[in-house]
Amino acid sequence: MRTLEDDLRAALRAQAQALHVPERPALDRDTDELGHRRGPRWLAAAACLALIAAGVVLLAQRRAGDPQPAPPVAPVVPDTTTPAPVTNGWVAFDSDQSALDSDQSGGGDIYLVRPGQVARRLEVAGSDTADDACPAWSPDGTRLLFGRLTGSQDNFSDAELVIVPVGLDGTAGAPTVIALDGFDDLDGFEPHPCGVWAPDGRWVALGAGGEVWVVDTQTGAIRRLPDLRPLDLEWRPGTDQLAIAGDMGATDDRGAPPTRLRPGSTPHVVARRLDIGVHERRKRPGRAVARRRRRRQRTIARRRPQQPPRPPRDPRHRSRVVPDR
Amino acid sequence: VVISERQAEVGPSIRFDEFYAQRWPHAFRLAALMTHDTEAGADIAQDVFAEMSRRWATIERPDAYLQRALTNAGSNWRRSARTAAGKLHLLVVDGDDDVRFDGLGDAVARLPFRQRAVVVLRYYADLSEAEIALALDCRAGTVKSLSSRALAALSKEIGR
Repeated sequence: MRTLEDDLRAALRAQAQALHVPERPALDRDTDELGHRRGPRWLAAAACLALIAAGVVLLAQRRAGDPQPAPPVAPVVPDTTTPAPVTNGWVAFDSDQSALDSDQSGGGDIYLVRPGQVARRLEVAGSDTADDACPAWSPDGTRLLFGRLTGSQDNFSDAELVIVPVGLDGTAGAPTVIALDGFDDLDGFEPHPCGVWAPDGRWVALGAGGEVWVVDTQTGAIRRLPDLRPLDLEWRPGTDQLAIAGDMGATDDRGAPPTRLRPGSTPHVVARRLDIGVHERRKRPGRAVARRRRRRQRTIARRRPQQPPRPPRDPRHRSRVVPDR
Repeated sequence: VVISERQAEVGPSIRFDEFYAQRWPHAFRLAALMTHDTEAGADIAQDVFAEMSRRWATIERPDAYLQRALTNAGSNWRRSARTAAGKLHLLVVDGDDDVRFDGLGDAVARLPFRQRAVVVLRYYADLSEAEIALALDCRAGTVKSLSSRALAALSKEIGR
């Protein structure tokens, strides 16, 4: 009767005989030794070095053979010698920005000028007794916006935004006047309301004291955005986003990063008080330093060889920090 | 001390090239059976012979050295390549129906390495318990224990 051991012996020998024995590797003729199957490592390293060297040589040859890369081609710049048709070449400025004497008309006026021509005063109803300033062309170049202060010459009290359609010949049409009730300027800044057109040609933003006002030029509605203390306003080109540079929300003289708002049919502020982020950044490193210091204290105490024996641990405290000495 | 008849025939005075030529098939088969992988068996056999060729002048008992080195190399290979059990199809069979792997061979392949090494060394290489203990670097009692557990596992595996 065959036992398990007999079967094992037969099975293993049958398996062994069934194996195809590979040709044994040849011995080295000089040393009469046998190399490892995977080959010496220096051979692989040498092959890698040779490949790297070949690559470097090829790269150098290619760089030497190729001509120098062509200089970048200047982009096609549109011809700016002829004025764009939108404003027919008119440049608007107020009398405060020129050498013109505003006393002749009682207040600041808006002037239009083209190269080679004498500046001409923009004739708008009511401008004789008002102080006009800060002209700004609408994006389509058909309307001119400026700010106006009314009242007596010595005490201008009321502020308005005036939007005037201007023809190609520089003639002004019927103005649209938007009263800015409650407008107040910051001390040391331009007293006139200086509006900035949105790219869509509908909204106008202006700084009014500590607020930003967004005016709908079609309806005259004004949205007041408080606590922004704007220093400069800039619409993001092609968007309805307004960048506001100012120290909004800050009580000290730190400059705050610009924020933005998004007007529209129902404009709303999406700005965040970024100075809060500054406050958080200041707090985090302080906590980290405190943690590192505590950890270093423990480590130094543990490594000191002549450390005096610790007093018995107070069972009420789960951990204890050994101070550095 | 005479380890085995085969070692006594070779003796320490034999030249390495002769020993290499004589023992290559046996070493390959032993390594292949212990690892159950012909590629690994060839690698292990060649590495062991390469090491022996450099230390040949200091080796007193070449066969004992060869068996122990093969066992150690097989153990190391098994430790680094746990997928050997899934490589049964890599074992080259000549195509003869009488020598193909059967259930018993597969059961041996599934044994833990030290039990499998004891089985292979005992029933294929015909080594004694002392020789197996020398190859496995353990006591003879350990070899008995490993052999007993291996046979019990095989009996349970094949239903005897």
